[in-house]
Amino acid sequence: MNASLLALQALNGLQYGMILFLVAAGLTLVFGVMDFVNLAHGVQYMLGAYLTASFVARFDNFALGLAAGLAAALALGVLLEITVFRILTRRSHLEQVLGTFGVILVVTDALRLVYGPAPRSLRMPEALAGAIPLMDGLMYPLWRLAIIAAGLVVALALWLLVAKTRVGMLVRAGSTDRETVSALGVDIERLFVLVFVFGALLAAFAGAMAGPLLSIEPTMGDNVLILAFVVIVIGGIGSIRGAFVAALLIGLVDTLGRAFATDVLKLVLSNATASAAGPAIASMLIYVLMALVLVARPAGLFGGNGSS
Amino acid sequence: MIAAAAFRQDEPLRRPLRDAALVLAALAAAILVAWAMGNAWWLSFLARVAITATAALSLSYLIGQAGLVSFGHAAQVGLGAYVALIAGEYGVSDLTLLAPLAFATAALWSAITGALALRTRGVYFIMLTLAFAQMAYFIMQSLSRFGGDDGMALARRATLLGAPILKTDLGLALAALALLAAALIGFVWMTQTRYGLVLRAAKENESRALASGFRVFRFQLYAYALAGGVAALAGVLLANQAEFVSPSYMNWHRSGELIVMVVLGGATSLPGAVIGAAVVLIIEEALGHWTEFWKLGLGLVIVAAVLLRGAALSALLGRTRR
Amino acid sequence: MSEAILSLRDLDKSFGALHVTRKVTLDVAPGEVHALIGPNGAGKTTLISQIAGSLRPDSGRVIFAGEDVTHLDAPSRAQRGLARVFQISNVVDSFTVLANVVLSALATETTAWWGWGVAMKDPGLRERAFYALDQVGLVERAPDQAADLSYGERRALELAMGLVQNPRLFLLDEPMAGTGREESRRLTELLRTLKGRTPMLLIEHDMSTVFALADRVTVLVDGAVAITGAPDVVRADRIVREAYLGEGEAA
Repeated sequence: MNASLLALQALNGLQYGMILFLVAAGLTLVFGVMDFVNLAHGVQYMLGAYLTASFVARFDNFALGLAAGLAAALALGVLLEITVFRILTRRSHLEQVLGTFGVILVVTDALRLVYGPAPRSLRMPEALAGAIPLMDGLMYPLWRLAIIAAGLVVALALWLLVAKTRVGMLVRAGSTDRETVSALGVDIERLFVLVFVFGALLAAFAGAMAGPLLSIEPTMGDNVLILAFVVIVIGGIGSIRGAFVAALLIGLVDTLGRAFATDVLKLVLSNATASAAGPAIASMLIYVLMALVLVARPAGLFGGNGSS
Repeated sequence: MIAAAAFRQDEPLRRPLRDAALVLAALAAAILVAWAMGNAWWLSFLARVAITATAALSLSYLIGQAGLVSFGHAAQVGLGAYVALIAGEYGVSDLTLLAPLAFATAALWSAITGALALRTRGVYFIMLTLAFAQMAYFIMQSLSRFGGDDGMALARRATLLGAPILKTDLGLALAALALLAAALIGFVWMTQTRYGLVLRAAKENESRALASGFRVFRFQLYAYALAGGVAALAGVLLANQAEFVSPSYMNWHRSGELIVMVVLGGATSLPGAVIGAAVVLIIEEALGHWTEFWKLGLGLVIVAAVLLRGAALSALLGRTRR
Repeated sequence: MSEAILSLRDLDKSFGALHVTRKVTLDVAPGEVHALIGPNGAGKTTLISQIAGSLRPDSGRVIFAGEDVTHLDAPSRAQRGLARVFQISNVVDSFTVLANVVLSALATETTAWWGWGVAMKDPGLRERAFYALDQVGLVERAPDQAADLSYGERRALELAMGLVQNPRLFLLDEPMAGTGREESRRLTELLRTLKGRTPMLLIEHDMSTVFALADRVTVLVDGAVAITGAPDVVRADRIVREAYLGEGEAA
């Protein structure tokens, strides 16, 4: 273990956190503003990855493929909203859980039907395919840096949007008191659609950005969804700031944990035990973190009535 | 307004017990018919129905009586299965030891995760139970000693006081039926006890329960642990039925399926959960014969059921913790 | 002079910049009906919540039946005999009237955890429940669903749920709110029959109720106690007239 390895994993953690933030930001808004338990959010992420990969392969141009893929993913998201989600938002949480669970099954299997179960790949654009030297002994991939940069830009934009614009104020108000906002004559339905569409776009974008780094296969939606949940629980439902902090925290803890847990354990346990226990402990870390946060603050770090 | 029909205060047990008896009789009859016809596949399938119904039943109790929507119930089932597997590796394979061990393990897991999850409400609770179940899933996945992601075969089927009652398909089916019967009657009875009354009151109006002097948290934690323990017992039988245990038993999709079964049968009806389990398993088998992409079909059925049943579903469901 | 059943000592509470309870000191004597009045926003319900235990004060003490209960939660206080009737009727709607009272009866029997018998058929519980229902005149309504009751009947039900626990003190948050004139009259009569047996701390806007029932009146203005005394004295007091009665008597 040396400084450059630590820096590498820390940067990876940040990058991972950014992806989680992009997914969680939309989800936390949907939960907070619309009180809608959308388990199918991970599907949006997956659609972003699959469709971008498809179009990039078709057009042999990343930028074009990305644009087309995001547009297609968004279109499908809107379709889901109109046909299913719109009705579900008026129902109980239990029905929302069931309904969106059904949607996950449908879309996941549909993707398997269309694309087959074998993982697909998405090649990143040539311009960003290389690496740059960041410090002694550390060449860091440009694409991952791009993700970190993109995440920061989105975070800033979201903050500006929510804190400084009229729409943002409505979103914040809507998450605390739906009836009042409605009574003021604001079309709450339209606000909801806006929030949903925005969240879906962010998730699809995250999927497209993560695509080159992972294998694109039908279970990728599930994994990211659970993590997004943990992010939201830790950060507080409805809080963008919470999502940002929590996502980075989880990204770092998870990545550094997986990278170094076994090594750290070897300091106190035998090699054999450490190698066996290491991966298990690493996979538990973020849940332990979640538990610790909840003990101190049952509504999350920045939670409590959908504050931003 | 909740459809109070399911809990008429004057003759509270008559209908649920009658429904329970009908459901159990139907299952028993099916098992006997399958055995008489020498159909091993059907016997095995019916055993799976009974086992799954027990797990769904325990979740139905949680959701319908306590108002706790757990999206991690499959982890409890999986814990039971793993107890059977791991104990078997160390030579323990008698049900008199496995049952209490599995129950206690799940109850302990519930006590710890419940202590945290029950401090939260609504959406937080649902997500927490999901996250905890995933944690269990990942832990078992990373334990290569017991098969890791691939899973591991059970050393041998369990015995009861030395007698190999689970060795035959009929034996297993009857054992599963027995567990289901005990759990069903037990849970139904509990709904009308003093404890059941408080639990139901807390589900509908927590501040009233608190103001009357009940520490709601404890009542709910108890329900959570009990439901988990029963699910683990089902898990032990599941391990024996499949003679194989893998982390997929804890997959959150399975938790979702359990919720589907509960809701399909009517979330405040305990015998209904058994019917829900049977229906879902039959659908899965039927679709599975027809296409590899049966999950797509199941998903469509679920979405349609939720969208279309609308008002009827809400009436049946009663209020869950929001 | 016998010891007060409830004593509040310098109770203080703020929500951020909003100082809702300012050093409130108050006694409820055994057997008395003590009314708490004040303009809207004076902090009456917040005070009741702090007494009942659903809200923690920032400082100060709540002493109930000689015991400092400031750090105890609501269920603990309920078990010690503090019965709360909510401003917005708070019963289990899907239960029958009888079941609601049986539920309440369970809480103080400390056997809510065990017993395999069907709770609703337990003779001991039913007897206690019917006795309480009789005291409030709801016996005929016992098999009806709580959701079907009128406002006044729901209040009476909550009273029964309190009575069945043999409370040491009733906390009544605007029992007349939402009731029509006839029901209000009946409810006042009911409270009058309970007067003397169980002490009550009663928040009310309805002046006729207050002056008909109260032994003493405390006026809360802006979270602080303006005056405590006999109804006639309070009625005549100039501060009260300006701050409160000057706003016009509530219907």
